[in-house]
Amino acid sequence: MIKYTIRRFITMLFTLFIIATATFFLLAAVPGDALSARAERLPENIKENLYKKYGLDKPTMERYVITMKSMLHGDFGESITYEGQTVSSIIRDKGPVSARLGLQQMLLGVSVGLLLGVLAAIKKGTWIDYLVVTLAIVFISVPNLVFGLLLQKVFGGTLSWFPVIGWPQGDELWFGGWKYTVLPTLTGCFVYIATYARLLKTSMLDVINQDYVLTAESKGLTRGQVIRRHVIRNSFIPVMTQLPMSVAMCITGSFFVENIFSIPGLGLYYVNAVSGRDTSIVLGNTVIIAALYIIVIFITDILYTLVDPRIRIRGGKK
Amino acid sequence: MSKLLEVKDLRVSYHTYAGEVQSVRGVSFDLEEGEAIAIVGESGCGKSVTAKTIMGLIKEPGKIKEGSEIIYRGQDILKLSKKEMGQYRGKEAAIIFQDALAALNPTMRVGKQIMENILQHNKSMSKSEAFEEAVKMLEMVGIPDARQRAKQYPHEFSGGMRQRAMIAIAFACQPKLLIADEPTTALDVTIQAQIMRLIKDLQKKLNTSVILITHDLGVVANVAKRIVVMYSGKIVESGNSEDIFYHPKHPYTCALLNAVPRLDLENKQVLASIEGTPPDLLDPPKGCPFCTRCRYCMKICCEELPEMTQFGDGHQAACWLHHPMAADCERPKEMEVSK
Repeated sequence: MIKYTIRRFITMLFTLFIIATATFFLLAAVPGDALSARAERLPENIKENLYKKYGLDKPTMERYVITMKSMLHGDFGESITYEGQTVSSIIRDKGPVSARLGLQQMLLGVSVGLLLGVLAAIKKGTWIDYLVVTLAIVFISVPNLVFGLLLQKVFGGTLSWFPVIGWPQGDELWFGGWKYTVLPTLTGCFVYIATYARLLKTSMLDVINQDYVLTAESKGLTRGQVIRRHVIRNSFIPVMTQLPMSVAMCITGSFFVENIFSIPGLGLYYVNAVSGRDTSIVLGNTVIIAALYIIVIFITDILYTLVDPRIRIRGGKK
Repeated sequence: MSKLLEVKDLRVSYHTYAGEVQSVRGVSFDLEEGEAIAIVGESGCGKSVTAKTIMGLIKEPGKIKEGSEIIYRGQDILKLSKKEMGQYRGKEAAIIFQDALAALNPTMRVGKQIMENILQHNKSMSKSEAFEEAVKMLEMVGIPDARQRAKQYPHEFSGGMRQRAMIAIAFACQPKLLIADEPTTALDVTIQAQIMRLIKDLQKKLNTSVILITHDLGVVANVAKRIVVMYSGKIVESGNSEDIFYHPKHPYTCALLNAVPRLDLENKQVLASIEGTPPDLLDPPKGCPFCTRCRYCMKICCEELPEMTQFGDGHQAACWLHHPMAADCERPKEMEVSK
């Protein structure tokens, strides 16, 4: 187990290195930089100084070495477009906002999705099944910005139950200001509902046709007992592969939802940074998000062993 | 001995997109208490469907036809309520499947899978008592270190041990009826013999009636007293195992017996097989289902179903060759009538 963790950690560092390198050169290959828009109207000598200040006057390879070196020391650099902000300060400020939104969306979406999935599988071939499948198709094919605008119109506008935009700040950052979070959470949770309902339904139907379900029935268990004890756990295995991706996704934020509801989250900022060619911010964010994904995947691999005893992590003592 | 189970005119069909597949077409047999019988036939002849029907495990799109009856101790199990069915399954009748790895829940400890059966039918029992009982069951089926093994998962067991564990589950509540659906097909020959011996021993010890389902006549010989031979959803011959082995009365049975590999075969001798394939059960033939593959087929065979002919001592076969008018026709040498 320890050996396994160490091995995973080394692979993780290697993966991060490749991601950082690829991102760096991709950004370098894109025409224009963070200063080109600003520098256009400036006199030549000020322009030069400005470029020098951010180190953008040096050749690409040299900049690469400098960037990687400072990244090794945990310094991801300063934002060029937003004076005085660093990658860490941005993640500290914007991260929690996106994380709360994402987690709320995910918790609601995954639980409703799983519930619908179970229902559709048990009531296969009835109207409930068809309703769930139809809903799933609608939820997955209609972009969430459409839902966002609709919800704003109906619940924010016509009925005036919830505010149209805004997000709790300060003391209420994590708990509180719920009324602001209702519409964005709903908007974002549809994708989760669709994904998980379909996933669980398919895998449950697969498990229901297994021989061990027949064995369970032949013991005289009721249908409910068979589903609870034998079907659910085994059909959760594919769900477990999907879950880490969702967790990572919910932390990195969702650009559309944050945009529609003017939520000062990471997603919105990230996209702005890309279009503004804010190299250090994009690079830093990418590496940190990649690290997050890798850690979450590692945690899932360990969770697997809890759900499915057939998977045991090798490399340890046993 | 009294009758434990009577299957009367059992008909089961599967409704598929292609049409109605008539898997079982009027099967009748009975089983006495403590008796072991075998149902023999090739793949798709309806033997497994018959087994599942007796356990009440037929699901959509399968359908049991009106007029079918399965009388267990005087009660038609096809008419049981859900609750009564729950008490019948596991407690009265149990089943062992072919592939034990697929038939055991991969994410549940073996001991717990046995306990589940015990607890379901002994509501007053505590969990620890049930665990002790499960360990006892594992010991009974010959699993060493039963206490340790009970805490393991099925994938940690070998093939033979998994089947033993399946048997432990099946016998956990000491059922009166055990259905063994090809219990040894997935195992190698030495393990096959051990498992068959185990089933036979337990049957004797607990006075359980056994329905052994197999396509391998070699497996049947020393376990079952009576043999039922099925072909394309129908019984073509049934009788005592000696009668079936030494005096078969149906060309299909003869062909099956010839297909059993023997130790005294010449080195390069080709194994005997039955030419052709079974009829399509979407549209069963109106005559004898075996007629297209039968070397002794007559004109009448393709046109009309043969009646069961009785030969005494419960031995019966459905073949036109036994009709008085066919007395001079060519027939398999095993079926020659001594004059």
